[in-house]
Amino acid sequence: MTKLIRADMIRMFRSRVLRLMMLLFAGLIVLESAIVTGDDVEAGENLFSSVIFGMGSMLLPMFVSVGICLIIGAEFTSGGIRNKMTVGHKRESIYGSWLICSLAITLAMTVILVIASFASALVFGIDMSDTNAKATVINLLVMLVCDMGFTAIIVMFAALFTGVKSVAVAFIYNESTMMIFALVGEVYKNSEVYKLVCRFFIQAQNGFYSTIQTTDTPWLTALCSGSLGVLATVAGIVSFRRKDLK
Amino acid sequence: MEYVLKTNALCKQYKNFKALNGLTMNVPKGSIYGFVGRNGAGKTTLIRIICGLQFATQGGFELYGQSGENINEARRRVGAVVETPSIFPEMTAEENLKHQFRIIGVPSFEKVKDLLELVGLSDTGKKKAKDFSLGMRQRLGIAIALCGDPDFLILDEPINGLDPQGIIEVRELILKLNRERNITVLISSHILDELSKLATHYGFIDKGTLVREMSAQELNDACRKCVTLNVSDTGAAAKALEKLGYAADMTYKIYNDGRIDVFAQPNITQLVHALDEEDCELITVKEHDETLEGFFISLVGGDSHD
Repeated sequence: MTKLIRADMIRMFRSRVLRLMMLLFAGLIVLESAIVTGDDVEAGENLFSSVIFGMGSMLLPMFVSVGICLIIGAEFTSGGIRNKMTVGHKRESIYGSWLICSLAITLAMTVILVIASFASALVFGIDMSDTNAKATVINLLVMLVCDMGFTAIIVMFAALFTGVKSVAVAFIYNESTMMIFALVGEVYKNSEVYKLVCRFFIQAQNGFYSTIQTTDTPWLTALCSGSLGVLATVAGIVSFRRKDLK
Repeated sequence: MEYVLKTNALCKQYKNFKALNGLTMNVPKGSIYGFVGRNGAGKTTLIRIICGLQFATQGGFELYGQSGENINEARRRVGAVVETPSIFPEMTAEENLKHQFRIIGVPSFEKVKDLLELVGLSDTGKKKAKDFSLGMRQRLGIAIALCGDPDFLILDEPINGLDPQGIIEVRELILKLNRERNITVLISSHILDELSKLATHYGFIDKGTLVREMSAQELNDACRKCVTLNVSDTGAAAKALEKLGYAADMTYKIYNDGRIDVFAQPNITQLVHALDEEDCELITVKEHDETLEGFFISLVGGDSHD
């Protein structure tokens, strides 16, 4: 599998699609920083938190899902996957390589989020005086684990809905999950069951994180999202192993 | 005889359609095996199964004597172009080959230039594969298939859509690979005329079943100009033919069903007299001038143009 990981990493990170997405993502974070700078600050509102954990946590899954689906989808549309299978690579290894490379992309996008947020906050003079470094780091790590759990789900979609239609599937999944949780949250936001279910889905975690204090039981959130990612990976591998490919 | 690929009653059932129906075939080592069939006969389905892209619903196959769990090991000796060339359009020819070398795990790229030269793409430079002509893409696909130094090359309709120059180039490449590197080639096509310039063995497939498997020599014999006699006594007829100077197996061939194919141009009057002397009845006489297409049609059904 190391051969596959190396080949896929080089292809993915040299991909023009990924570079454009990273640039666009960074640009939107900077734009958000510029916009919030001009806003009137309400009492207790933390602008920096709204950039890195508000807009950032909402945009990151969207960009990650589209990027991963396009890049993995290209293997199906171009027939690149045939070159891997013909020379004897097992399907589990191919899937594993996609997953590891996609997790690396998620990590890279998170790093871009942090750098773009901090850099633009400094440039636009956003007040970061009440930022708690430890809380910020812990929340970022939890968010990263949750994003990685989400990435595992997206890789499953990309492997099963071969080609670029996986982009549509991932987009619909992302947006509809966000909307469902937003609507249900209107009624059940104080329900313990609702709060527990939210821990599994990154799309439901808008408002979970801030730069001032750690989120409630961060280890539980990481465990829930991580478990869902593991489940998706197992389901993805089992289905991909049996799938007839062209 | 050593076989690179042996299939045993392979079946592939899609939802409402049986693509392969008990296909049994053998590809001899060192051969160029022409796999012939109409569109939808099952050629590409078989190739996909051999390459691991799909799974047979029944039956099995051996690749270099390996099957089941060990098949992936055997696949390392295989290179394939399945349906369309598997190339990344945003990469150059060189980048595509380097990517394949990484997938195989070859640490050095020194063979990239040699491969590009072999397939005639050494001067493509920074041109992206999406800007290649169809012939260039086919050749790049073959180059990618050759990255792992395979000794079994599977080509699925490699000359489809090519212009005459492109067809010649691909043909010469395949012959070169077979003769100089002793690579066994399985080439599927429905362009018989082109295959006849390449293949040493043939497998004719129709509706998922192998209808006939034969060597190029046997196919040539089947398509030779001949006169078919239906006689009452083949032994007596053979004596009559020998009296007329026809040698067995060279100029005539006897079948068990009372049929004799005479590959020369017999004088019918003399033939009738000679048969009469041997007390052999001549029931029917029919002249053949079988084309490859006619032979193929006669195998898979449809009207033969006599």
